[in-house]
Amino acid sequence: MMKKRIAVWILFGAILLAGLVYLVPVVLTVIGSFLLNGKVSGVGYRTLFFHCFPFYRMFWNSVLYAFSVTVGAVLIAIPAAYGFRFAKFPGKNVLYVIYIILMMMPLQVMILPNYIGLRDLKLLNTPFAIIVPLLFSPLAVVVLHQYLRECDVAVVEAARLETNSCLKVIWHCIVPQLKVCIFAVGLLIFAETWNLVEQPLLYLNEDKWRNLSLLFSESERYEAEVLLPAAVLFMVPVLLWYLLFRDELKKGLRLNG
Amino acid sequence: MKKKLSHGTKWNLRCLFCIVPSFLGCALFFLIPYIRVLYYSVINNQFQKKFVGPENYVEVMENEFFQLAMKNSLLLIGIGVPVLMGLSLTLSFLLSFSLRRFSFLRDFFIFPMLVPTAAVVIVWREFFATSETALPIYALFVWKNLGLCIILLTAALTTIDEAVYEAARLDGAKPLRLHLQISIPLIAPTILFTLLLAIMNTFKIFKESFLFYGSKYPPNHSYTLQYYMNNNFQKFDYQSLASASVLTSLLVLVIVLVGLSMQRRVQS
Repeated sequence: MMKKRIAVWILFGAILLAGLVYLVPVVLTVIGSFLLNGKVSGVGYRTLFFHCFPFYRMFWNSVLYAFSVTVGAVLIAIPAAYGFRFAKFPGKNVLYVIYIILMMMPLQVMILPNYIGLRDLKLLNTPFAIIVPLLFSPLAVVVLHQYLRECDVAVVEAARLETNSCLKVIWHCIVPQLKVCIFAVGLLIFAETWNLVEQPLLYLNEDKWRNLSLLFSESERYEAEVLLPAAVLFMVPVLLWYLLFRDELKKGLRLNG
Repeated sequence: MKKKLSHGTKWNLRCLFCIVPSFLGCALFFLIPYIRVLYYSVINNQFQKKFVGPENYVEVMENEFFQLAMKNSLLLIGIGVPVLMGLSLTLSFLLSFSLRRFSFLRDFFIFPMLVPTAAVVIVWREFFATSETALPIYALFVWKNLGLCIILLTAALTTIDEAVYEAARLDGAKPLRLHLQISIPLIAPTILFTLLLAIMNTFKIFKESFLFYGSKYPPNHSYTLQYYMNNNFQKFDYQSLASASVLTSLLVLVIVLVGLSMQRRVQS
């Protein structure tokens, strides 16, 4: 018994250590942002706020992309997941497998089709080039549908006696059950969109619509001291979301096939 | 000759209509353009549009940079993915069973999945300044992806009924055997799905590599497919781009279909 307890504590220590190592990159970024030439200093932040004007534009572009994509993708994915669960039609399974394949397709495969679609719709070099393709997230549909499979169906049957509107059924019976999953999916999509690199690089010519990720890839264009403060401000929104929704994130994602 | 739709059919159509917005978007931005990409991959150029058969494919497959990108992807799948899966399985099991009361430790590993790569990459550059291998990229891959794997595996582990373990314990099963013979088979579908996701995420590693090396050209060991794609975008070489996209998508298709059919077999 004693032996077992010691083993548990050693394991606990090892994992705790690993967990702390996991935090190191973030902690060092935060500490580094307040240091200049080895001394504590706020110069980095001051330069960032008062002399690095592209930062504001890039930051707000990131906010615009992340919010519109998250809200839009979730609003489109909920009815789709509902449809996959409750509609009966031939070829449903095939369509669902197509969604899974689309979800797995790496960006490298989709980027040329995407580019062609955007070019034909004359959306290149506009913020819509970034936002619109991301609204149709196969991942969101698949994850929500997986979660929906384990939800209570009787409520929907009961609600059908009251209303003929799919939207009402979704709003009153599906959304409350899916809430945890919706937050988790929303958080994933937000983080992904906040971190975009390839799309703005290829779909946008002008600096005007670039997002904050690109500040770090073209870091030689900016003063060195602003990078770490900018990185800290770049992390803050996602970390806030994480603190608010981490339980949803842990409970809302299930993929059992 | 109009047939009146029954109430049930009408309802079914309404439900079906819910998929339409999502499907139209996917068709407009992924499926239809993909068909055009297929067409691009078999013609000589945009202007003459002469059918050349597999010529573009041969050219792409013989291109040394495409080969290099593929080799690096396969290496990451062969080394990075097993490490990731091993770590995430070990941590999920430990924190769900023997170390259940310390399950808060999970949070340490989960939150990097949300941290934007661009934000930590500066520290990463300092940290791995002298590295001459692809280690920084592999480390970023594990750092970013461990959280999602742990979430998915843990969610599956929590759905296992306690009673199953009680019964096995009464039969005198040791913890390790308990998990090897009960838990692992029970969550096998999820393990497979997680593995599939991890494999697919190796293709996304360009972002990490691109941010780590900046706009500079990366060393060979960290060259990824996206660099090849970007170069061809700049050259407007749509034929190579299209063929490379199609080849990669076929590879992914094979992996996904094998994964899904294995999963189906495991489930039944």
